[in-house]
Amino acid sequence: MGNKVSINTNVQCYHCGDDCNIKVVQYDEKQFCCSGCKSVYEILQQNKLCNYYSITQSPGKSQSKSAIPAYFDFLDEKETQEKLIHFKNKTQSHINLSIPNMHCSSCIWLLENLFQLHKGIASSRVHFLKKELKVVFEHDEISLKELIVLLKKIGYEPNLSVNDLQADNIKIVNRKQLYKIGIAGFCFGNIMMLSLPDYFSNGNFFKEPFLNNAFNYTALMLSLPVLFFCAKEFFVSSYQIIKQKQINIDVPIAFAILVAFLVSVFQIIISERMGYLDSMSGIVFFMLLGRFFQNRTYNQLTFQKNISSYLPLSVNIIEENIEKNISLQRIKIGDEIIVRHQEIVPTDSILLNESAWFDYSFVTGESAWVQKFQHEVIYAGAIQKSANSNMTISKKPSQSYITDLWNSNQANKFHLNNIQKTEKINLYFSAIVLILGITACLYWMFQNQYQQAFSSLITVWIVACPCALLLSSTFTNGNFLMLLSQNGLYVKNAAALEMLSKVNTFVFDKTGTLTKANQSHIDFVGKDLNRDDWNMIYTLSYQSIHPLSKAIKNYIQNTNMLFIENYKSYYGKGIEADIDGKRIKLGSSNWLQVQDNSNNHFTKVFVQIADEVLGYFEIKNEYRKNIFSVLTTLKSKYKLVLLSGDNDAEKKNLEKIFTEKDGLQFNCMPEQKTNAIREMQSQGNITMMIGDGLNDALAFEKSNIGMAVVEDDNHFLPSCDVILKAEKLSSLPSLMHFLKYANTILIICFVVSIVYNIIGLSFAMQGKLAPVVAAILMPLSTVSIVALSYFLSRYFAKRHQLNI
Amino acid sequence: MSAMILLIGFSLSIAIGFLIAFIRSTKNGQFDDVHTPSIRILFDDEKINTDKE
Repeated sequence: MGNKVSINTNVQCYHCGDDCNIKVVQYDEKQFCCSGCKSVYEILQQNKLCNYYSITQSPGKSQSKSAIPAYFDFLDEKETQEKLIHFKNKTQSHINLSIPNMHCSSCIWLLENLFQLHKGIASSRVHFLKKELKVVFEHDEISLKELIVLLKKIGYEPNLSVNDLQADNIKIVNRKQLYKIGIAGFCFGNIMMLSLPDYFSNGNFFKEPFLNNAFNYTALMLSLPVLFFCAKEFFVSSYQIIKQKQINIDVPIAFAILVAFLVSVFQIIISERMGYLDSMSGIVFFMLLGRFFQNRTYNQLTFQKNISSYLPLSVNIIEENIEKNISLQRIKIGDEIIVRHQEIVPTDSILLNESAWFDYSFVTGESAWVQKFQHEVIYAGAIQKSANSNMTISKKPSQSYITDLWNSNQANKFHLNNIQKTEKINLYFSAIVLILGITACLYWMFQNQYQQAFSSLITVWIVACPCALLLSSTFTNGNFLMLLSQNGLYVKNAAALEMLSKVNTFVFDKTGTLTKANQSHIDFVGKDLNRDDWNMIYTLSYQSIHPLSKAIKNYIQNTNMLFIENYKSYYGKGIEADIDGKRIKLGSSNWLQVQDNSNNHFTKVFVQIADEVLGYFEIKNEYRKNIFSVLTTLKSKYKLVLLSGDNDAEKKNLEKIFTEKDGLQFNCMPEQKTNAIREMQSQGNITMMIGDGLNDALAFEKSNIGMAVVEDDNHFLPSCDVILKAEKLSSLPSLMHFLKYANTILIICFVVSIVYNIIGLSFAMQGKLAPVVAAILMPLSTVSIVALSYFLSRYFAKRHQLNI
Repeated sequence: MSAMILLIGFSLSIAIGFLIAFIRSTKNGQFDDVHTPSIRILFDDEKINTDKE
């Protein structure tokens, strides 16, 4: 079975499903788009794992783009291994790997069958939502490095970052929450059962008093775990907030729980009545359930990131003329390092080569590549776009510019302690209920009706417990967060959701947000070129490492290479050579002495073959699909501002939407973006920054809401409040409109629960409310509120044509 | 009516049994990942056949 390269069209790659544009690699009667895809198939076929291709069609990810060579020697270092491997015994090691490429059931199948690929792998288990793979391997049979290389070979290169792997804490917190809910539910149900006799009598259901007592004391025992374990978080949080002489929503809840418990104990001992243990455990159960629902974390997304997850874990240094791959922590100032094509500069360094090209888009937002010369400082985070370049380290990674930028925005977390509006209403409501209960109690005291006084106090508090109100907001927020996440908008928490609905100013970043990241769109404008011409242009552009040449080469892609001689390149002008006896030139308009008649500011490369200028390549940013219609829709309701770190080449296009009056700015440094946002805020605007890279991180923090737009497996994600999937950008207007209905639903729920409360309260204050009615009314109101919020949010989502 | 005491005991011990089952399954990580198992169950056991070939 040999490889054969043939020209074909409209063939889809057997491995990744991409169109095989011009070149098709044939192997085993299957077509592949590149040799990378073919070799993955080869490995799987040799190991009889072709089932991979029968679960999902074309399950792979294209291998043609992942040509960046990777160095894993640092994985043999002991320190690195200790960080990555979380459990190790004599024979086996356990490791959790984050695998961004994981996307379908075939991936799960293959990754869980790793043991068939290498006998050293004992087992592997996938956590799909987290895109995590847990591997148990025998480290004498297969080293960590070999394991990672194997994964890379089959197209699932792990994202090796120490930070992503320390997610075990979240797991433990989640489990604890589950225990609490389980226990509270268990106790609540059983106490309800035990209270039944008491509901239908006045504490003398059974003729034998010891039986009544047995029921009462069993219920009391069951309420202890609810009070001391399940409700602990309410007490702890109230205690902490009271110590700061403030009040939060947990205070009235904790108060109600405590009073209900004490009064119940009192009643059980004195009057042999059950008291309110069922209501107390019911409150705790429903509150915990509501909070669990609201705080469900998105496993696959992390909103908080540490700077080190952006930088490579290892660098290649040169020591006594020998290249060594070591982990980043071990480099020292003055070390000489090699940064290869497409690699990220790990820390601020000084360039040793004559010149090299860098992509700073991640740090500054500028999309055009920058040429740097010998002895210039290269900042960490830049992506190397030339061939190999050598540098000396000038600053430790912990002191680099990018780290400074990062730390300066970590220090300013200001919108965390805002109490939400709904919680404020709850707070007032609780205060009123507290006062009402005490007033009713005092009233009956003065009438010398002590039994009545107690009963009214408790029933008022229990019946009108902010429970229904509180649940309506927790459940509505939970519903909205879930519905939005199903539509590609991930909101960090309920506070961010509420802030999001108030936003009136959108601040956009250009590169990576309005335009596609790392993708520029090239058009050829001019005469029709024949195949020979394309071949000539391709051959010439292949010679140069200039980013524009590379872009043109990629645009033409595979054609035939021709014989080339007399190649010359002129810095800042262009390149020329003799091909097929013709002189061909690629370069700027000045150099070729042609008039640029177009009225735009795109970067252009002119083509001249045999003294005739045939046209030019136009290199521009590719905008996201439908972005302009989305912006037009948004513009009718919100103020739109663009702060771009890029040059003003696209000004003409963007002026249709953004005006300088509103604050259209180009060439913005991160600090300038922040200042502009601060100015808008001082004018009373509530701003949302929409961006993608670290250059927006400062602005994310300063604006009221930071929204990160992410591509599929983008891990260059700064800290933010909201994450939007890039392909969902077009539904942003309807999502923003839908958001506002959260308030409408809340108001409807409030009205309903207030009606319940007024009915309940009016009876309770008179001391007429029998505990059995209170016990029925309380869960009934809770359930009806929860159901109401559930169906209303789904109804509104449907009206906005969202996925539900 | 004192048989009621026994009945309370029975009903509680059954309920506690379920509670313990819940706590144990949580501890074993049954609720950590609620998505992947739903996909995993659909895989055929074909790999065993291919091994024999």
